[in-house]
Amino acid sequence: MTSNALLKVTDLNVSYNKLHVLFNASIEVNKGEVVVIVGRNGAAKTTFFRTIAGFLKQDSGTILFKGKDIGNLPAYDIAISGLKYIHQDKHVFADLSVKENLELGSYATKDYNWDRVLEHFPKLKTLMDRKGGNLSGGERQMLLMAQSLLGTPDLILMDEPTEGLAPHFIDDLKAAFKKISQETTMMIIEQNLPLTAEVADRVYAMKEGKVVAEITEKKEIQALTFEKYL
Amino acid sequence: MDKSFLSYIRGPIVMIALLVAARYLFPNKMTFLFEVSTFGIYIIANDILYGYMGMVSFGQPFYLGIGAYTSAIYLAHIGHNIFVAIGLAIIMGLLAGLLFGPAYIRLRGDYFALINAATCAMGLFMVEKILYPITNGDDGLWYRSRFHETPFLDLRKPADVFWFTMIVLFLVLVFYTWLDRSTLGAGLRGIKASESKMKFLGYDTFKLRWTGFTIMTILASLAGSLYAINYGFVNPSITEPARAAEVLVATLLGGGGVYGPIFGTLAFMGIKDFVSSFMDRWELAVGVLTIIVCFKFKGGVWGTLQTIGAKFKTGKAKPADAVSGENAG
Repeated sequence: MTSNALLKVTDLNVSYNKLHVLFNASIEVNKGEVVVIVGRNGAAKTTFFRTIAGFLKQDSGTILFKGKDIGNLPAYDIAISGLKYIHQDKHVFADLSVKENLELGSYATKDYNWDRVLEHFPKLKTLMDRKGGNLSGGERQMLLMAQSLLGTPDLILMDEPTEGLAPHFIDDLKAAFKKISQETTMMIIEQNLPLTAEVADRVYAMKEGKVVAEITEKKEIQALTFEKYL
Repeated sequence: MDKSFLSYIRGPIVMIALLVAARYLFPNKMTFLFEVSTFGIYIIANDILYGYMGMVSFGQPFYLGIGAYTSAIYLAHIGHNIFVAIGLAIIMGLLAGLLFGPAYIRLRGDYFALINAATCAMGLFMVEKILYPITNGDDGLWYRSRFHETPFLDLRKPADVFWFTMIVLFLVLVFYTWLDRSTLGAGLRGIKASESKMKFLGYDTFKLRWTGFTIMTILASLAGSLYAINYGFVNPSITEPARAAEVLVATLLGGGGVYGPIFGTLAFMGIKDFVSSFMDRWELAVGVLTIIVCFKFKGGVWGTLQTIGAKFKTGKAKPADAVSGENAG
């Protein structure tokens, strides 16, 4: 493991009241990597992401982002510092147009360079005046990714981005992941194992609240050897 | 979206022109039109809270009362300048937002509604009992004879107060048009849709809600001040918690959007004015209309008009939520 990791989480423990759900989770994410977290439902993957993004407070453990402890920062400060989180529910602002959704992303980050962002999702250019609530699941996911790319974040956490999407949207997103990974680091929770094999540089397997395996060899990832840990 | 200066003032000019035309078409309805204008500002204030941020308050009369009593107390005991009275009411509205906001906006749903109701009840008790020496309690304050003449428009005269109110309403509508199209407005609506998502984007939602709350208190206080100046009289009934329902019903009837509050006010005050001429309990008609709106016209008056307009324009109606969703409550 390298010591100059972009994100370094050490011995993270999280509980919901008295229910301990995440146990001594440790991971590292290096700049430029695509890291995928795999695991069955209930493995505490989302809890892990929400804690890193500042929406849950850990019982113990440290979260270092760009060398700074972000474990006690509020979620909005973490987002502004360059760590964006795209939630699993594909929740865009339904009453706002695509343009207004992007404006909200721009205002927070002071980044109004939409051309750079929309290059990855050209379809959004044709949907600018459509209300978020009238977008399909795939279009919402594109909007969320475009929104999160504003401000050029150092790391994007994506929670099951392909869940429930039509196959052609998954292909589009896969292509987008590859392009986006050239400009930013990504950490993805994904249940789609073939997709994981294709995009991941590093895979962590989680089971029952614990990180049970780390796979860094591309051959092993492509051979889906991590499946045995699930 | 057209963001030219003209696009911000076009709608407000039309709205004011309609009110002015009504004033000449129905000369005996000037008081009614004045009430629609001031109540409209009050409903705009509530729409920021309810329509934009999704926060229901049962204490709006308190914020209206702050403006009304600030102007009334100044004019009855301290000074004679009406513009100073309005300025003081705006300042008090600002202070109320800055003071109460940080505590109240931490609460959600029922708790936010009820803490405002409790504040309103305390406000009523204060003006009736604790501040009796300066408010005259239930007897109220009378101060019209103390007004000094004002330049340009002599606000001692009801006709000039009407024109002054039109100017104020115009400015409020221009501000409200700007808010509706601004990132601040989108941010406030974003809070209603998903506060978590706003935090993911990097927004300090506490500050956003506080800003929205303070805009609400300023506008409500301004409306109260206009009321106090037009009638030259204020009594505690203006702050009665029971009157909080009026604000919510009018906001609901309007249905959000820039002009929803004005149409909601027109519907509410219109029914009150019309039905009360032949029936004591005009509230019954408002109640029935509110039930109909809740079940059949969720976009309110303005949302329904927009749907009809879209139908004429394109030959088919937009989905109701696409219209009412603008910032409907």
